[in-house]
Amino acid sequence: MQEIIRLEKLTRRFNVRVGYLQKVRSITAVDAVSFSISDGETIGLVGESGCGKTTLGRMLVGLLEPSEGSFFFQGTHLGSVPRKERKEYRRKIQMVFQDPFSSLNPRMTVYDILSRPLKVFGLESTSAGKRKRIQDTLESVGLKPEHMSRYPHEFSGGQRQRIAVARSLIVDPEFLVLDEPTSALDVSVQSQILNLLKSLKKTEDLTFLLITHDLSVSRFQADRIMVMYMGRIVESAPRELLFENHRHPYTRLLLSSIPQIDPRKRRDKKLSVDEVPSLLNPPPGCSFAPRCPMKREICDSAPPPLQTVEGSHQVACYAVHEKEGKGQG
Amino acid sequence: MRMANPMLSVKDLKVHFSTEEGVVQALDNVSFFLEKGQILGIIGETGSGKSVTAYTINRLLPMPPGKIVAGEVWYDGEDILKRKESDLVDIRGKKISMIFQEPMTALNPVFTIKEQMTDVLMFHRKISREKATKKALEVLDLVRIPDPAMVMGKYPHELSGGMRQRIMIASALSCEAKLLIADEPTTALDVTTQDQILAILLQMRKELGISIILITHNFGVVAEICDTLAVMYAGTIVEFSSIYKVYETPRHPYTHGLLNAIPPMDRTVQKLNTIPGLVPNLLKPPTGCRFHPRCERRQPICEKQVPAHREVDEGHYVACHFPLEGGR
Repeated sequence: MQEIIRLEKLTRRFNVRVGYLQKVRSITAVDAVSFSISDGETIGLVGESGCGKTTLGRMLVGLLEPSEGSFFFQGTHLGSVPRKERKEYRRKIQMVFQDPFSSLNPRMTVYDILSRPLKVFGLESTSAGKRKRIQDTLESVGLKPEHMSRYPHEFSGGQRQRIAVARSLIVDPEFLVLDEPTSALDVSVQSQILNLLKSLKKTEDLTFLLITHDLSVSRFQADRIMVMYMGRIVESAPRELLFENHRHPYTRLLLSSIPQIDPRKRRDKKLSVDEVPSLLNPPPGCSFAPRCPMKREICDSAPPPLQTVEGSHQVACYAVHEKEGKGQG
Repeated sequence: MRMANPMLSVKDLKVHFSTEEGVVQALDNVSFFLEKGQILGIIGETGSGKSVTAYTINRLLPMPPGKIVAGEVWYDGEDILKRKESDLVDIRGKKISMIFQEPMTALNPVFTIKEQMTDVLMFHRKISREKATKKALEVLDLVRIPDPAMVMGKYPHELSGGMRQRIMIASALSCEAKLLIADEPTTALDVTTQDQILAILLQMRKELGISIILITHNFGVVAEICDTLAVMYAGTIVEFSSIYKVYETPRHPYTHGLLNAIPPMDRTVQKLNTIPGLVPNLLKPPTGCRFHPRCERRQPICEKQVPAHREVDEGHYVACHFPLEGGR
């Protein structure tokens, strides 16, 4: 399969003001992340709040500039393309946001919402062509042509998310960043949107980066899953392998914390207070070390690299590397 | 519904809201009970009436626009709904306490944890600041907060979401209420933190013998800690039973549809079940069974007659004219 996206040590830092004196400090939200995505693949990027998954997604669509590192789209290094010429790439990379209640302008009709991107990218010069394209896109997401003249508040949450999906699809993109596309929705609506995304991916020939905190959503949707913790990818594996044979202790903690819907599978709960370290004061080595049951001395030295343990299964953990006989990596 | 000696029993609750567009029939025919020491889950989607139910039990419902049209809430030998507004102070906080979804908005940002926790205790128990401080330290310790004395001096923004929710639980338990209502207590939290909060709730039930009503939209959360479950749809309780029975043999078509719409964690599926249609507008709820427009099993009677709660199996109540045989 052809590679569509490649990240090389992509890093994003933010300056934040802290404390009474409002001193400026720098935090690293995304820390030297490298991976690639093949054409037609769906990557699930999972992690808890503050792990950097949304920052990463925003860099890919151009809403944030990386502090360091490079981002290649279909082999082109986007950082070296002059801003004015990036537009065509921007068309090919689109994003769907989490909350369809705030991502749609309440003063615009569905027609206005969908014609804006066409105007921005100079697509469909005739008004008849525009109408036809909007109509077709609405139908592809399960809405009707008569919805065109309505305003966002006239729709339910699920329908609004369909409008948001339509807005990203109308410019005929190739790569979609889906940032928690269903977490603002109820379960019965979530399943409709997830089914829709899955079928659109096939019919429209798309590649997805699905950002989610919900592992069951990524199990349904993704081919490969990457687990992010405090700005770094700690494990990356094909879907089945991640669920059946995960290796990183954080992945294990995450998976075991998710409540099962089968009450017969209840697990004993630990009463521990387990706090995520602050990004303002990250641990010197592996960022999971302070919470890790497998911690050893080397873990405090430097962050462990993401190493292949088997096939396309990668883990960033000294204990796992040691076990695999790759401890010197 | 019958029950030997429930701690809380809610009977035929009907609640309306007056709005500019008309009367919202928020709750209709809501009945359930809770035994001492049990954890009852109330599950439902947005607008199903689960929070209104909780607010009504604790008499926190804003009236107007809310109005309790009918029903009884029996707790500790009396019908709470018969109490005068001015006479509720020994129920709220003392007999029934409540925690909310977002601990940041429930805590006051300009006061320290100590000030907020001791205020509650001094008000309800009429004790000195000194005694209240001692009690606050005790309950913080109870919910496993490391170094309670240090945490007491902090402001809410200095603490993590999980810590804040622990403090809310501690504060809610400080007046020794025997019933805790938790409204989406873990929705704003990450899964690893959620797990810890659920563990604390279980532990409090064990150590203090309290009963808990847990309101949530997350089936996983109820499956983890609840004993019984009430499933709400469009302002009514459609199914009520032990959590095991509801999961293994859901009898209401809505419960069945909901359970199968959740993406499974333990296996990969190609397509998810969906429930056709939309949640009804409660300004004009469907006649008869409120689920009938979306139900695949509907018959002419479903449009005409509201289904009564029937005991289809021991302790398993369903409001449906044509309940499923059971099984997933």
